[in-house]
Amino acid sequence: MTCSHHAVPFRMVGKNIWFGLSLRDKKKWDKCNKCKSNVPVIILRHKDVYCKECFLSGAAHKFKAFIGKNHLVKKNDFVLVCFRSGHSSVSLLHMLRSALDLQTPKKLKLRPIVIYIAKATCEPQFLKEIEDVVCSFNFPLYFISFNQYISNGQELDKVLFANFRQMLENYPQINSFKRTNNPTATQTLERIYEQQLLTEVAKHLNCSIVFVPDISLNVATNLLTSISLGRGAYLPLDTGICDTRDPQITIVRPLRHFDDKELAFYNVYNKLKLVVSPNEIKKFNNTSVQDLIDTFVSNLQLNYPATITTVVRTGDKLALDKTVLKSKACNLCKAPLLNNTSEELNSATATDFSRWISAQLQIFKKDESFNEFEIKQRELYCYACSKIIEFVEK
Amino acid sequence: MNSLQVNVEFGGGAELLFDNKKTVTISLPEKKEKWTIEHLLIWIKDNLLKERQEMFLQGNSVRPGILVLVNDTDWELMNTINYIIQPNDRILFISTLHGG
Repeated sequence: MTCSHHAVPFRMVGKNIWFGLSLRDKKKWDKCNKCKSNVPVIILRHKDVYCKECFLSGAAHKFKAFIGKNHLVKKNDFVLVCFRSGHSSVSLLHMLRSALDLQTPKKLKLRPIVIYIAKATCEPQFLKEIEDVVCSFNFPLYFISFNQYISNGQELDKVLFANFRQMLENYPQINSFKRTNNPTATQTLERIYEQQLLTEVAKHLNCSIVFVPDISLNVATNLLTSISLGRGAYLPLDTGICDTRDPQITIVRPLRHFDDKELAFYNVYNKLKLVVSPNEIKKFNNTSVQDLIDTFVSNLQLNYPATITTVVRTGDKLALDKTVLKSKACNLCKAPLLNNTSEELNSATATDFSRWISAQLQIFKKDESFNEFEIKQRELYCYACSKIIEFVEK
Repeated sequence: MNSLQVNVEFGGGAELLFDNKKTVTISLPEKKEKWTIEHLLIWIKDNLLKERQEMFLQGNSVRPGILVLVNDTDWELMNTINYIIQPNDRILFISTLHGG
């Protein structure tokens, strides 16, 4: 096989390299990596080839093993499944349905309830498609409007609907979610409120677990975003296998080891119908830290196919000190406040110190020792949230 | 030699760039060289894709985030843009850039 220069695909990285592989390696692609007999139909991570049967059984196994290995669910637990537009949610529902319908001892025993959070203005046609898809898997479905939750979240009974037509009847025209003039802060707030919504709805519906359809790219992006925004201490909660900041509800990301290609092919081979919102197309405007990191990770992934898995697997290894979970929670993100009682200095203390020392000029001077200042800073909010709150209060 | 018939399909949100059409049967006019996917992409750009070309194409290939399947097989196993199109091939373009 020859590649003339003008026909080189964009992922080509050098002479005699074909998708990061030497031409010699291409011969190894004649047979499926697993069964070593069938003709492969998909190449993953730019190197492993699988036939359709091995690919599909591998995906199903990866999902079940993740749930089983991490001892996430107890028998017959109610699980709240968050539905989003795109490939991941449909794959998740199909994997759940297949695992529940198994006739072997490996059968999954849990009771899913699906929820769709309507964010932007929603077309009835789009909501109808969601209803059709979720019903085809035979799972109960609820709708909730993000705006209604923000304005009237205390009374979940009034904002949680089993039928989208009822939701549209009282759909607020005004957007009650206060957007800050800072896109990074706005996106962080949206994420925090969405998580609170899921936690509260889960409690309301007697679920102990929430499944969110975050895939490896989302986890990698969130991990690097969290570090950039000063949430490094909460990485195990924000991006780990499960989020246990709420004592009753655990948030789990069961698709964290799947990438978008795997799920897209999974859906094609299972002939699954997708629900795609025309409004939720990925933007590459790079106005927020989140978007910037998303673009950075995606671009790096193109030439270095191990980027995302490396970041995600590193995240898997991080753990939070169990004793910390019992301390007072941040008023915004509900993560435990890390009171720096030890003599050890951390980066938050260092930042606080330089802020305090800068305020020691005669004109600003308040009689306040550094210790008092630091305690006041961390009374209500964690380090990252205290930065977000500044934008909200402005 | 007659024109070459192919079934082009769009999914995962890519259909939104093509008037919401999920399946199009097209006849590629005969020409001296063999039709490859690279040529097909140019044909699609000139004949089907009216706006937001950057959401579908990049350079002489599709943009990252658009997956291509030829008769249900990953095009990365079929030499990508250099694959020589056969009569009645089913070529599916799936977007992973929409939602989720």
